[in-house]
Amino acid sequence: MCGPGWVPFSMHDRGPLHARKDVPSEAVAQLDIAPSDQEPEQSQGRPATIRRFSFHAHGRTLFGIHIVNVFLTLLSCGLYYFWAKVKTRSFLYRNIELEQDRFTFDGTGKEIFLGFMKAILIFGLPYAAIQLVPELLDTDEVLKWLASLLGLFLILVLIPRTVVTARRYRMSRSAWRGIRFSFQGKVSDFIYLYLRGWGLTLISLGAYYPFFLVKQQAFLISHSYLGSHRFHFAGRGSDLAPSFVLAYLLFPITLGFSWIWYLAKKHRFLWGNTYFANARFQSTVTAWSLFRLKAGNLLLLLLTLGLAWPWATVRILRFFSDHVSLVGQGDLDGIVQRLGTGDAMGEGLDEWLETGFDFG
Amino acid sequence: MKSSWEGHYLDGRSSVKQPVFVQPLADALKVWNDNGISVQWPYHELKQTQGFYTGEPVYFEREGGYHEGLLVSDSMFLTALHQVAAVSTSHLHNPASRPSRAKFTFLAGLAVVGFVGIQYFWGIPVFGALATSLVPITWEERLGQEVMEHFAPPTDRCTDPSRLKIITDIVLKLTGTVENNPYTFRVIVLDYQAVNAFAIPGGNIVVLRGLLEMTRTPEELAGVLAHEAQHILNRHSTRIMLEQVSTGILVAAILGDPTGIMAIGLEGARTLGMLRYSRKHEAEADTKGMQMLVAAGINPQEMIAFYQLFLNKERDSTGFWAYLSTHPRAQERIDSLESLAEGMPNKSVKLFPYLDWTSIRTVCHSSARGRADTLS
Repeated sequence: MCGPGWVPFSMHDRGPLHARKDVPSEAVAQLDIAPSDQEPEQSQGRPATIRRFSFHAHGRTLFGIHIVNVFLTLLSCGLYYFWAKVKTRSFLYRNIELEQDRFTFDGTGKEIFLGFMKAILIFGLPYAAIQLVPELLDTDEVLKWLASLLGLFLILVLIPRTVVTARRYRMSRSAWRGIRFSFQGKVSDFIYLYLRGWGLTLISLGAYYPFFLVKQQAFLISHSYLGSHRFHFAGRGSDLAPSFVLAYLLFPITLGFSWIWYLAKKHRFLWGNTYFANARFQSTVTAWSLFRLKAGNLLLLLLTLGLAWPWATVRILRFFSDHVSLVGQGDLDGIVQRLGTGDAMGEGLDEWLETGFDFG
Repeated sequence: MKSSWEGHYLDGRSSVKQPVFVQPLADALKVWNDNGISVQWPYHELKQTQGFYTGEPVYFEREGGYHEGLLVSDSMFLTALHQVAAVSTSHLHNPASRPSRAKFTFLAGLAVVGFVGIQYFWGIPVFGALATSLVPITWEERLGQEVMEHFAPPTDRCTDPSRLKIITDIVLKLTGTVENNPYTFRVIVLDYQAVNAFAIPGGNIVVLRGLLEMTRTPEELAGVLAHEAQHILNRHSTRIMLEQVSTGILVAAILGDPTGIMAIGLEGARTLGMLRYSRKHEAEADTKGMQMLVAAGINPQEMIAFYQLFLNKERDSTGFWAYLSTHPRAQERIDSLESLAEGMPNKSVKLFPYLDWTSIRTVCHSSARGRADTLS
């Protein structure tokens, strides 16, 4: 097996307690591999290694967890909700497997609860105040209009902020083989990207949107790390744009199916252009399989009035693991831990806004 | 019983998995590798992050420092752990507790179903009634005005003043029987063909031309007006809004995630749930409407006679479709009204015995949007 060979345990059972920041920085620098080195090796006729994801959970197990969650949430008049969220998420994470190892999520309900409270204070109350005060004071129309504008601006700034902070938190609490994920992107950079993107999309009457989307993904993916290894995104907006326009134009004629086709194409494009550790992700999602997934879930939820969502969730994750894999000679044994902290506030606000951004 | 298990060690600094052997001792786990290096991990330093359900491998994390990890695929390892060191491993998951966990889950499910049932059949209606009494009448009137602008635009109203006055007099006669009536009742007739009438919060009753022209006597119209007036007097629209919000909250609490993928199921569940409340309100409007008629001295049989007209029109639906409708089936309504009417006093007066109802009910044809006409 490749790698540094046998690494002895910390033989002094406890040893001096090092702070978590104690990682040799040289090790980190060496492993931040540049994009040009990322092409998966497929030379000399060697077939590329394909590493598939597997998903192990059953809908019924998740349903059981959910029942207990609901019971405790009702009993606690809603307070348990945050702990319930963590329970569900850590269950789902530890049932996703790559290379015989499962992922872990070790956030706590308390962190998410505090994040939610912070979000209410920093975002919720000011936003509500901006919207309500002009109404209550019954000021003239111009002020009310200005207040709405201010509220809109607040949202436009807070959404990208939330996306970054939620991602940062979620990744910092996720791990694989004991190595933590992290997100190093800056909020200010993403806010700028976001505002600029929406501005251009509006001016171009939507034509810029695929470019905007790709830029967002590039930012989110290329600032993501597993330990010291960085993810990379090599896709360009111009590759996705034609499909977007085509799907948009054909939407009425195909009764919406062209959109599913576009979503499948987008899925393959986004995953196929994501690189990690000398390997590349690959998605085999097709329009038809995506349609079956979505239609099936819709039917399931409608017929059961939403009660079957554990099964719908399991279907989604199984779909993901059936179709996404890692291709290439990438060395998954050579990843080194990297340190950083994550703040839970983004998590709480993301609760509120449910922008739904997530890696994987 | 095995005494040692195969596993993997992760040093928390790199992703290399190192094969090791594990043996549970009284206070600690003994971990060693092929080279004979061995360490002991005291149980109190361990946190379990995987292995709570069948099929999950067991993963222990050692707290402090670098978060070293130990992975063992065989869950029998956990069982052995608890046999060897029951007390010090009590914070770690014991597979033997799974059956009782399943039992607890089942009981929790029953409790949830019970709770939902209680809220749906009792809690929410009671809350609706209580909360409604806190809503000021002026709010209803304001809402009613806005609704009127949308649903009864002035250009579509029939405005023959003398005929309208007669119709309004019917309502006033009915509502005169109510003590402490805080509303100012008005009747608006809309020039639409549809056969319908509805109550708008705040005191306005809207009658469509189609329904008006179907009535054969003023007493039949009185039956409809009494029903709608009861909707207003019992503040059903406010109640419905409160019940809708509470039902929405209840459904969201059960389903757990009120947004995204679930919004569809949630809407469906809420709508279905609301239908029952709507039918209850309709039944109440029927019953109290009839009582109001009798209190005003009008023959309740005429109300029933008019509903019979509807019965003939309505598609004969049973069972499932009845559940889906916002109104109880016409036959059901007639049956309840008839049994109610049996217990009522028989004396009644005729409204407007000297007027030709067929002339009055043509209030829309003669008005021509504002041109006043006198009664012939």
